[in-house]
Amino acid sequence: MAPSDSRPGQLGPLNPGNVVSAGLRLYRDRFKMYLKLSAIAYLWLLGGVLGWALVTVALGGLLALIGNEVLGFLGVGIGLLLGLAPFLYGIAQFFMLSAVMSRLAFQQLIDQPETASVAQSGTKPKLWAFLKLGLLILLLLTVGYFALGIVATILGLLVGFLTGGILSAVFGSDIGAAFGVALGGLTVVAVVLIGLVWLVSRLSIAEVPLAIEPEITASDSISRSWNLTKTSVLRIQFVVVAAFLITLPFVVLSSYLPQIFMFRLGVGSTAYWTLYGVNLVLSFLGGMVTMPLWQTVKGVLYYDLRSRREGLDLQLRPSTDY
Amino acid sequence: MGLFNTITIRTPESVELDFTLAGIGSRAVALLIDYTILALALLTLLLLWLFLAFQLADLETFLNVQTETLQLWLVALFSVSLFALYIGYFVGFETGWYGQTPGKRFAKIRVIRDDAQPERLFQATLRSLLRPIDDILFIGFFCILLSPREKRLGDWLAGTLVVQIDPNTAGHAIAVEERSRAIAADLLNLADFTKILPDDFATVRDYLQRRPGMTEKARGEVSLHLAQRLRDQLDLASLPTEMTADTFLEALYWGYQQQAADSNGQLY
Repeated sequence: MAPSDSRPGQLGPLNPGNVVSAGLRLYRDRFKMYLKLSAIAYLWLLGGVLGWALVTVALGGLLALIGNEVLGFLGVGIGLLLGLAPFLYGIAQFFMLSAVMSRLAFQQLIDQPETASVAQSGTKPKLWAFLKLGLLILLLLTVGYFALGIVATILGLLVGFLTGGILSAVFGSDIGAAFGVALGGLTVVAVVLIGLVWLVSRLSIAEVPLAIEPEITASDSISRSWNLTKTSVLRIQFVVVAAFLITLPFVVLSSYLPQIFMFRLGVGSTAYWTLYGVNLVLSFLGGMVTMPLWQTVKGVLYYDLRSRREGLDLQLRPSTDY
Repeated sequence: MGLFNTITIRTPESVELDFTLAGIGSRAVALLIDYTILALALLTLLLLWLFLAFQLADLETFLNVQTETLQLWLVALFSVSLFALYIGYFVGFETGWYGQTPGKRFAKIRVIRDDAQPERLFQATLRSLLRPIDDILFIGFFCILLSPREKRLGDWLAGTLVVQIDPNTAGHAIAVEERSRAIAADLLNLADFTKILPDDFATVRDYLQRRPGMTEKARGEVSLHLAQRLRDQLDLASLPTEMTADTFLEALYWGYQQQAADSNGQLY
């Protein structure tokens, strides 16, 4: 028998397909627990948005009742600002609970399974770090987007003028200009798209270390994701697309199909608005059901990347000299 | 670990074979790659057909055939070649590559028959004829997801299974430095390598195989951890020379391999 056959159960690095299969299996095996967490997370999100709206409307209405219209507008302005508090709190809870799901998946992979409440008590002290993390990611993506836009424009102009110039000289200005514009435009789109996909992939598991590793800050968590994903960007693409394919049947049912019906009805009719409401509820439910899959897949991906980059599974294999 | 479905097949020779089923994720990855290749091939076919159609239209007067007849023939030919490409891609690859397509090869899965024999032309044809039906309304998807043996309709009909290829067979060669080989000889004289447990040796081998992909810091930690554990197992009070944990592990690996080769030589 080969020595590896009797090895105690540590999975080690997984191929992209198995990352997704493992994520799905973990979700299915503890379906109720994950779905409950997801439902609570989505309710926090909903609560945050409603809270924001409520504060705004209440303050605006109150001040309009007391004073005049101007005061009412002032109230709305203050309400929008104050309402940000419940909204951000809801977002933080949503973000933290989604990270808890990844943590639960990871803990199961390293043979130290946790209950939902234990995992939650581990992340609760870091609630505001999760909000900070979310804002940091938003900031990074915005900055990245603009930086990519600038780089893409410069490259696009360069490619466009170069090919346009050369082709004009050979085939005449008409063909040259057309090819120059087309190739330049393609370059811009390609640079922005590839750049964004790359950036999102590098940040893809940013919330997972924060939920799992002790003594870690929001920015540490981002650099952990950055370092772990360094050599795996292409592999992550396969994981993401395979996971998307698996969610597709649910997404089609909960969101694409109702939207097609909506287009057929036309804006304005009562039926349209009824369907709009149904649609909203359905995609809310669809998100609730599919989010745990994405989060368990992220948990498995974190395990996979740590095994590849840090030999996590090698360190975890129990010492046999007992 | 119970993360992946496994299956034990008893062959007609009464040999029991264990397989890990492919899993929905790997099958999705394989499908993605195969359909991308197919789409590109279809696009090429379409362009070729358009080119041909325009060329023939020019020749029409010359050939003295009616336009409608020609168009009908062209459309018919195109439909047939479309069908042939879609079916032929899967049948051709799965038959020629023993149950694999480019996508399955990438996803490290393969199609076998229910009795663990390799897939043949008959099974491959049934599987790909049923493929369009499996694709409609995600029927195949739900079948794979909900059946314990992960069979889509095509698999039921053809009597096939999709399984993972043993990952252990695809090992990279391990580079062992000259110095480590020399130290291995010294270590073999100093210590009894049979004290090393096979599991721990496997861990050392895995570490040496995977260290190129690991971060500097992690390499230091893991190698030290493993070196200390194995040094304890061997009861080595002192090392023959000064060396890094990596060199020590390389030497252990090399020595263990030499010893295994020697004992095999004595046996046979």
